[in-house]
Amino acid sequence: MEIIVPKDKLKDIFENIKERFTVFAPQKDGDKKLLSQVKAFKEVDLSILKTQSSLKELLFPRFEILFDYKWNKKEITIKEDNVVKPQVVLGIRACDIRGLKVLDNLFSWENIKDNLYLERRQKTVLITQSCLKPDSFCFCQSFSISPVGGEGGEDINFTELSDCYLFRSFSYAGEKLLKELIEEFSFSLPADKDKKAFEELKEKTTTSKIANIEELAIKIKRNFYHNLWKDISWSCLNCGICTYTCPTCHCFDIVDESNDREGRRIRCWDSCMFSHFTAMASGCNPRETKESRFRQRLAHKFSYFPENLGIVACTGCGRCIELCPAGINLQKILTKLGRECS
Amino acid sequence: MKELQNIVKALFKEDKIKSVLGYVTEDYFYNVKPVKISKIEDSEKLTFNPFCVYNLVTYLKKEKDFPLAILVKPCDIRALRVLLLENQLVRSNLFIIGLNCKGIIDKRKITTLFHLEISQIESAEILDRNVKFKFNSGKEILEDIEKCISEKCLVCKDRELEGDCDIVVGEKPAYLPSSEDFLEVKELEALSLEERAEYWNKAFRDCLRCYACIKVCPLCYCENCFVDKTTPQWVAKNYEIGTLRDFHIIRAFHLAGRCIDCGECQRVCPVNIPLRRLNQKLRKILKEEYNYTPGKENEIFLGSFSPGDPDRFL
Amino acid sequence: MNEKGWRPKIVAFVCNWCTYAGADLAGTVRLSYSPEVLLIRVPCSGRVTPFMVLKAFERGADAVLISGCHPGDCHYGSGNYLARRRFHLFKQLMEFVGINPNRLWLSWVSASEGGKFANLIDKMVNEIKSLGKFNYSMEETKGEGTPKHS
Repeated sequence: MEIIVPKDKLKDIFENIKERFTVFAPQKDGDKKLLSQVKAFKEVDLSILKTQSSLKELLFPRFEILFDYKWNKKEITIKEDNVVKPQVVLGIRACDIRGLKVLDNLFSWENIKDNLYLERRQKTVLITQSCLKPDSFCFCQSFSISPVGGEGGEDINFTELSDCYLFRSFSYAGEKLLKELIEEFSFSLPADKDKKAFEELKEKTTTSKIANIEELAIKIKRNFYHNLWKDISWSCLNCGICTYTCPTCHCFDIVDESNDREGRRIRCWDSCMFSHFTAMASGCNPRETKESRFRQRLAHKFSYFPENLGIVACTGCGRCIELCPAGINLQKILTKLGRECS
Repeated sequence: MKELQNIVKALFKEDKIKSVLGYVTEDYFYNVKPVKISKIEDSEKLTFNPFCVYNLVTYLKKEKDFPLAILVKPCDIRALRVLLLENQLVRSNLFIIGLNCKGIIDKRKITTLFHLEISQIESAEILDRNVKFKFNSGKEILEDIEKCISEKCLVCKDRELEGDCDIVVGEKPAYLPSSEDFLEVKELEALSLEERAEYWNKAFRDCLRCYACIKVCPLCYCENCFVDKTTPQWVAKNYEIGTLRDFHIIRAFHLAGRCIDCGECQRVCPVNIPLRRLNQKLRKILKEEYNYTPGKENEIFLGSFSPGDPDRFL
Repeated sequence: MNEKGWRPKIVAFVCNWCTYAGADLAGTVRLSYSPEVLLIRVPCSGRVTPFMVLKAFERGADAVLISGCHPGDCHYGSGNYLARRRFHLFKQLMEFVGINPNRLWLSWVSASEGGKFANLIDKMVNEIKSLGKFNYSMEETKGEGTPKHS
């Protein structure tokens, strides 16, 4: 279903949605660009291309309490308090949605279902915005992602045309929401000129493209001992920025915080780039060197993950390139791997 | 540039070094990367421009390929001095090439100033009090240097390299900033306790615990950082505000008397936490009450004492 | 506002050779002082690190006292001098980040100053009573860091 929304009516749509859902949208706070809860339309900033923290934070939070427990020598009482309210995320991009697809595949893999993630996912309505001006860090088209959006599994996508917004729905939930909006505001259907304008924008919008990403799966495996790994990973500082801002990275740790009477079990983010990530109680650390950790991350994203779960664990958003403190550029690395590995 | 490359080539030829830590640009002027070069042919790639923000001293942690040459700016050399004071490096293993620095351009500042993406800039050159920008569109602009350079450069008044380096290249800066020291700290000190608490709680709330601030700091060289300790666990793994605040207070405190204000921690933070202000506060106390400036002293601050130390309590 | 029946909890890190002995002396001569203090014996005031202080606050202390030998009299030579430098800086850092520095006290009490120790504790408990309960861990933010739902 498709509708046309005049530009000044966007605020009314926001107010309408806010009454029934918690709304998350890109927000500017000083020089920070974050995806957070918004209470008023003026807080929403749709001109932000990419927020510094990605959509995965809302569905796979930095830390969550699994359960609380108390014991008194005789019995243990466990309290689980995970209430998930319906939420709408507005103004995210096609790369964020592809990231969610990767997490969907992971958290419902075979018969191991992560109910915390899946429940949140089910209660979230995703409204993406078309990217009409990707920046130089973006390379989503390498993964067959269309920057204009609509093909990733979101509920609704909207595109800014010259004098209005074109809203398109792609799921049952999306269509239901659009129908409610039409009832409330009497929006019209798109005319031929609108559809033509949209198609032109879709044609024009391009990002960098790395050729033959799928071939990397075999190339990386075959070149496990190549000496270029040392070269490309040299300046890496082993912080966690690339993993934490990546829309697909998902390593976590489970920790108990307790004293001898009560406590809670929490899950928090972890990063394969940290030097102690594979350290074991015996003192052995299989990935002690920076080179091995770096190689593992790329192999996981481009080789093992697609092999086991059917999808490349990268969306081409470019956050790791923009935020890396050591100037490591994933686009250049992937091109180099493609060229120098057979 | 040529001067720098020739010096390095000569060092390789005379077998004085095994490798050199420096900067290269692969494609665009602003895409600078830190690099370690071990072959004489690669010396041609070395460069130095106003976007060379990285503090190369941090790459000396765990480095084993000595003797090596390292390129240092005035802020970086202070880190080297503290490392030598703390016996983490052997001076004879290093050949220090000083780079006279006119200031480092802050990418975030100029993209906000010009409202455009960094890829639109073709080149940038510092001339006295101004920066000349050339854009891809062909346009040229002259902008006031103080609007373009990094926060830390605005208070960098001592750019002397002669005493500590084996050789110095580049022309000395014609313009030195005259900003008051510790301005940002004074602004915060003027607030009330509750307002400051609110300011910092808001800043720390977004912390991702990526530890980039620790990894990039040249003086954070502990093999097992306090954040990684599990028996006992000092910093919890949750992201509650109290925990995040503890982490940042202790990180700043572990650098008391050692932080030389290279500003890297603030540059790398992915959620823009104003980390430099924490370290600056400690530097201010040290300067005003103990007359101690890290990077210029011969004793370690928290490891020494004087019977006349300030004593404003019971 | 304090809840009814709230009593301040003071954690005191006392050095084994001077202050602990002084506190012992106060007991021997039957001096009574406020009971709201928990003594932790450490070999020297220089052993106390800022993280111990923060952990004490986190676990519910309303105030922390660090007490050692008088400057010049440290059993190990210079431990108390180092503690003085360390905590002089740390108090100011705490204040800068928005934590009330009046919750952290540093003092010198020698082994013969039982009376001084008793007076010190009484004074401290009184002042902390007027400052109130210390909400260090910001109880109202427990569990935050997960996405907020209104």
